[in-house]
Amino acid sequence: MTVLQRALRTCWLAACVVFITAPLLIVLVASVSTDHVLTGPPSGFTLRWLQEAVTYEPFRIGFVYSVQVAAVATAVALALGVPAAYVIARGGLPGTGVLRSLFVAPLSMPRVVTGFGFFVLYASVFPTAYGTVGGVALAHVLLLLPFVVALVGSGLANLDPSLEEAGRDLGASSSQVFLRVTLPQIRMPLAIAAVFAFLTSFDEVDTSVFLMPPGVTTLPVAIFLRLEQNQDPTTSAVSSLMIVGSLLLAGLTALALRRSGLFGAGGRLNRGART
Amino acid sequence: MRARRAAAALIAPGTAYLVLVFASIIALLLSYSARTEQTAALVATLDWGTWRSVLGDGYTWSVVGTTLRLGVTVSVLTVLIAYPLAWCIHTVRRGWQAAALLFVVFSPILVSVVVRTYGWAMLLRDGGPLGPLFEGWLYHEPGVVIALVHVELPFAVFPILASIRSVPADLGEAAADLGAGPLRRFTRVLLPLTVPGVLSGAQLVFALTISAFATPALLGGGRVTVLAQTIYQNIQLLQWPTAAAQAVILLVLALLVLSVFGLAARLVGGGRVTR
Amino acid sequence: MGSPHASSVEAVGLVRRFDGTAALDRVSLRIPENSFYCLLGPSGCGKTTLLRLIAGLDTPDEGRVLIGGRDHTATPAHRRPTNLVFQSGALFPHMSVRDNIDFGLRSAGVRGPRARERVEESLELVAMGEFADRMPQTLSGGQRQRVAIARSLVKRPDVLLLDEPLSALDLSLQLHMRRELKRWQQETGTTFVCVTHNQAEAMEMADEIAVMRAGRIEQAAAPEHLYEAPATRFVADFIGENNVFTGLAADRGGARADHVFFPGVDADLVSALAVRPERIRLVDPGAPESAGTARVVTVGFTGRTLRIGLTNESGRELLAELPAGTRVQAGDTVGLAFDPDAVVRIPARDTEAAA
Repeated sequence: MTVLQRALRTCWLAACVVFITAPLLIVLVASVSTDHVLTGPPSGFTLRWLQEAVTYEPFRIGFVYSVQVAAVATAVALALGVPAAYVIARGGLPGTGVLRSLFVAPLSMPRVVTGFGFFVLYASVFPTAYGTVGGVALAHVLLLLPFVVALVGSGLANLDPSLEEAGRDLGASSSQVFLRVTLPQIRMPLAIAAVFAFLTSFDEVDTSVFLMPPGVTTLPVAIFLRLEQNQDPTTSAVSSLMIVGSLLLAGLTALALRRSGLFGAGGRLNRGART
Repeated sequence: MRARRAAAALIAPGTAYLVLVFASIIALLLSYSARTEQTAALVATLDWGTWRSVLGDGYTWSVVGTTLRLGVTVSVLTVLIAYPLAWCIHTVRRGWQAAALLFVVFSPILVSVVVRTYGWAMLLRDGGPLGPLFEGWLYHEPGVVIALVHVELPFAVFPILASIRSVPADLGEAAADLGAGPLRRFTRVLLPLTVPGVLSGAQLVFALTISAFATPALLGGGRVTVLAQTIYQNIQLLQWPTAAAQAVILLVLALLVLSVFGLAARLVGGGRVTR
Repeated sequence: MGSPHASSVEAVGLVRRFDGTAALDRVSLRIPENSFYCLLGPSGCGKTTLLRLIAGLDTPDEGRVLIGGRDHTATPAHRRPTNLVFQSGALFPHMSVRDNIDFGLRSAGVRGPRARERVEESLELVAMGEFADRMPQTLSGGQRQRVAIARSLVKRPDVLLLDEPLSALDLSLQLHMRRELKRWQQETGTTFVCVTHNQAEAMEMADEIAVMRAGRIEQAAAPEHLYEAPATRFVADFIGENNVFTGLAADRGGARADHVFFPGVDADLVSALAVRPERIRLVDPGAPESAGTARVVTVGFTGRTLRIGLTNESGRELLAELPAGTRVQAGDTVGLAFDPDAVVRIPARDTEAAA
């Protein structure tokens, strides 16, 4: 690579990094700056906005609401998605291709349409589900299933099928094989799927906004509704808490996975073709 | 036979959920759009009045136009930024640098769209850091475009990077050995082999852009109206049948876009590396 | 760790079809107890399919599998008295060597000191005691294969099944492991059934070999018998190196095949004739004992012998192996000679001779 090429590459990378991080950085800076409206470099440091954000009632309710929805939606998506990914990866059923398409189909559905669809579903059939944790979570499951099935499925695809056969051959029953052989080896994709699903649900706006009355909403919907009215440092503060929280959760997951030595360890090392 | 029954039992709950949700949502959308009365009843008098007024209204078509225009602009810009970015990431050799870049590019996915959109509002607003440079962008189409490019960028980088990585390094070396300069190596070797990645990136971005809701709602300033917003607004106005018709239009658009890109991908599929 | 009861294995009319084509076509076979048995054949001949049917990892479309005289056709893999050593080893990457070996015992409910003792015992057998706490990824290919064998043997199976156990190892290690496998079989007294495509490996290890081709058994016999008296052309070709002559026609007091004369052979009773390279002598083209002439094309030195590549009048390529020091060089025209007892007659019933 020539010097010119190297310089060009550095410039482009730098420009992209600035482009990607700028909107996040300004939120972080504004949340601890004394300025009411940030126009240039912050004139002072304060924790006042953060304090206001954590005591502001709609945000507090929204946070609890979001955590509940994300936890329920993630649990249900894993419970439905992991066995499905297993069956699809092993191809033990006729029509596996159709099943695979069915489980990624929600990706083709605009989230707004999903939201509106669940809205009319609840309005016509289950009026009590509207605005409840279960009702919102049930809709989120639709968004999360494709990610869970794809991530867990790719983990299973990397797994040498002879490992499971070896487990059976050594006397373990099907459920023992799943728990002692398969599950430990898809821990990493499983953990990634869980964290990704949780954050996706926690951050979701497009679908959620249709499913709850304005008074009691999840956190991102609360922020959205507030932003529709006005912008103030308290919104910056709660936004920067969400940025830090999301990245922290992702970082901790990566760290925990690295700790347990799961990067690199996989079925890849002792895989062989069968004659 | 027993294994097949077990597989069916494992995949049944997820399949049942998806089939029930899809079937009921689509049936309800169609049913709601084919009525004029404002009722949450499961069935109502069949009336094509809503469809007639929605399709006969110039406003609908201008909103569809805006939606598609945003889709095209954002996809083109995003791919133009993402391709060189993916290539730069691919050529970064040092491990920690590559890891840091990947983190910077992909971690914004974990941050709520509302928060990222808010960051752009702060950057672009009058008196904001970029306010003078991008005067008049906020609450107009360019502001929506730049924020959407930011939101969708990781979704384009990912498939492009994967396809660049799948091109064996020795192909480029062979081309160089045969006397092709950098430009020729790019246009004759790398680009044709990575077209599938570009297409799937563009497909994803286009589909996500035409269904985007929060970003145009917060940055459009009432001047930029896309289909997703009109659905939300019509719910506020208690015009459920109109909202249902617009949801159907959005769904059809999304499916149309996905299949057009799918067709294009199949047409260029011959350029795949076979090894 | 003598196995309490090594078992015989019997396959009765096994058929296994994949997408309509038969990977196994009515295969019947008896593997004696306490023997080292090899299933030998080129890839795609059905040998691995047969092994997986014995292991219970696959079920036959027709036929039965008997182990120790009992019908096990419907028994699932985890209840069969057999254990399989996978080609890749299939060691669980998330478990140490010791935990891998312990896996099967825990599945059987064997725990505590008794389990520990058996794990140690089998680690000792394969000389992997000092690696007990290592993770599989940190072991070499040969070590992984030893652990895989220990993991199966610790279960004290009546029959140990091995699927190409040496194919992933380099050649010198393969040669060593052949002797090790043979020794372990003798020490444990377990029936070993080993699938391989390598005839030298099978010849060296096995008490008996079944040569398979296209889903059928061509011939099942002791290695010496296969070498000296191949029943079909395929076996003659596949086991060791051979010169196979075809196109037989009766000729004064014998038969002629590929321009070589074989005295005393009835062309109607045989489909082909074979002469091992080491049984061919090179003589003067005009000598009375010469059965045909050929031109020397290549001369290769292997240490103890010279490998001579020849082309005869019919364009047929032949191989002769002569003691080192024989004076011969490329371009020579020579006569081919061999003793009558060097000629192997492949019976006419071998209808596949044309293949």
